[in-house]
Amino acid sequence: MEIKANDVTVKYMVGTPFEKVALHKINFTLRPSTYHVFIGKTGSGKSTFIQLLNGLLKPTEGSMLIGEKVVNRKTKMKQLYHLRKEIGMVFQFPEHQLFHDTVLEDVAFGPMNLGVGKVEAEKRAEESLSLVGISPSLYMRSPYELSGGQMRRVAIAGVLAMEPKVLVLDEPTAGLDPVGHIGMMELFNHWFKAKEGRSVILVTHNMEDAARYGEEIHVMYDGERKLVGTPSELFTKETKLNEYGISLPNTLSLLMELQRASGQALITDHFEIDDTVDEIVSFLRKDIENNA
Amino acid sequence: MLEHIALGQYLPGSSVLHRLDPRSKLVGLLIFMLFLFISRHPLFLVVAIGIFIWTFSVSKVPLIYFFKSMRLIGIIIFITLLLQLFMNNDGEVLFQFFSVTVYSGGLTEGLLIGGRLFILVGMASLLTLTTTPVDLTDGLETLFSPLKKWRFPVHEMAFMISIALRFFPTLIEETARITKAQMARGASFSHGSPWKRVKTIIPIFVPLIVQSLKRAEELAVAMEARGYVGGEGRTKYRQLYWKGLDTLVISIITAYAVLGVLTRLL
Ligand SMILES: Nc1ncnc2c1ncn2[C@@H]1O[C@H](COP(=O)(O)OP(=O)(O)OP(=O)(O)O)[C@@H](O)[C@H]1O
Ligand SMILES: [Mg+2]
Repeated sequence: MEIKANDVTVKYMVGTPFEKVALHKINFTLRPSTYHVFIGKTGSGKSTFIQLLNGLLKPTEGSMLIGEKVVNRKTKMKQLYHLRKEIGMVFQFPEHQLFHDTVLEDVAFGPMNLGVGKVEAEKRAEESLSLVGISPSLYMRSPYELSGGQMRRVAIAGVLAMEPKVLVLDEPTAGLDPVGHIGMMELFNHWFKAKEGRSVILVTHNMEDAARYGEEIHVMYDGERKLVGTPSELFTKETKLNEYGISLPNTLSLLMELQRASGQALITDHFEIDDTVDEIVSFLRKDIENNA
Repeated sequence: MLEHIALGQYLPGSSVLHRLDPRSKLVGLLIFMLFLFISRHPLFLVVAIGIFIWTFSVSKVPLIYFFKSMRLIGIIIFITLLLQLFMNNDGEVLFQFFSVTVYSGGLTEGLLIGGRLFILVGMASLLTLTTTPVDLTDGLETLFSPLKKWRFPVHEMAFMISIALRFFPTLIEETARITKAQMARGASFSHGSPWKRVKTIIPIFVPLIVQSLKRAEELAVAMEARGYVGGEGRTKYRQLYWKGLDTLVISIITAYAVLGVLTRLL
């Protein structure tokens, strides 16, 4: 599904002394079937942008093209309703949205809102619950009896059960432990790969995740998209990134420091920990050979 | 929609009225109200109107804001005036209009009652327009503190009010957030029958209550962890300062009260 922003400006609290321009005439296209990552320092407009994607927020000026659907200031809320079917959205701390008596009912809430029958909705709910790793013994429990991590999985299952084409994630792992974090990120990646034509749009402050999963990384700064590229294109522009308040992934900054300290050129366009280790090992080998 | 809600009707500013101690404002208002109805002597009424106009002009509150805050009470005052005009049959006949006869007594009574009501509510409005809710609570707490002798939990009440005030904006923000999250899950607040629409409140209401309870509990734990114990012997971070101006205000109001009593007796 292609997503396009045409001269989109978003202002908050228009007509009050507190008026705030959150996005300033942004213009770009998000390629379909791609894992997009949005990075940028706090207040740069990332959350504002993703809320445009399913019509929770409408552009103050300009228009969005989401698939076939045009969204501008005048678009009626009712017409945006079916966008919610295509675009699944996971907010920060999604566990705060749980409300039903049982886990299963809560997950089925989304599909039933889309007009899916109860039986079918519960079937979908079971599928997505097993996808996020919630065991059937918990289905009939109250969501409020689960642990924080489990609650988050249930909430995410609730979005996946709507079978969206695009999954939008706003800092989905905030507050999780490291193992839970990796598990969750792998889950999204698995969902992304499981079927042709799916997209992910991830907002994150974690550069390791951006480098590992992102196919296209977008850098937001002060309400505009300043840079875009694949991880290796982007993370080689260190000075530019610093200007926009973005640091490099740890694996990469280690190599950069080593390069600076030793004065030797290293290969710096891979970000996995294994690649970094390989690079350091080969550097040490060369060093030993040179000394011998 | 939720972004425009302001708490109370406080208008930030730095006028003399803004800078007065909340205690002198509260006591002043109380005396003013108590004595307003004591005398109908023209001299006293002129003084009362004078105090009202002076307070208003010194507050620097824009006229529009003032009238906005008076909208509701304005209707009540208008109805009082009408009732007096039609029902009161003291004095001479002023004019007749079909079956309605208006007497002079009705007119003066109506204007007297309506006018004094207007001034009364207007003064109260000016107080809330120029005093932050937190200052109001602080002022009320000190003024009511003698009640502690009879074990009335003054400090606890004031503390409750200030916490409620503090968390009100948080609650609004949270409501907006949860509403968005449920809308993203396909909940619709504009579709369907009235009953269906009422039911759509549940997905917002339940998480909101749960979050609020959780927050209350966390706050209680945090307060206890820092050794919070109730009212007795507690000092305040925000101090109230009684200034010369406050004494002046109270003196003026006292003079006004004395005048009221005198004109009544004479
Ligand atoms: N509901 C709102 N009302 C007023 N201003 C807002 C609102 N939401 C966001 N803003 C402002 O718009 C700007 C962009 O906010 P946004 O939430 O999009 O930033 P962000 O990039 O998601 O930041 P973070 O990384 O902290 O989540 C900020 O300056 C913010 O203060
Ligand atoms: Mg954000």
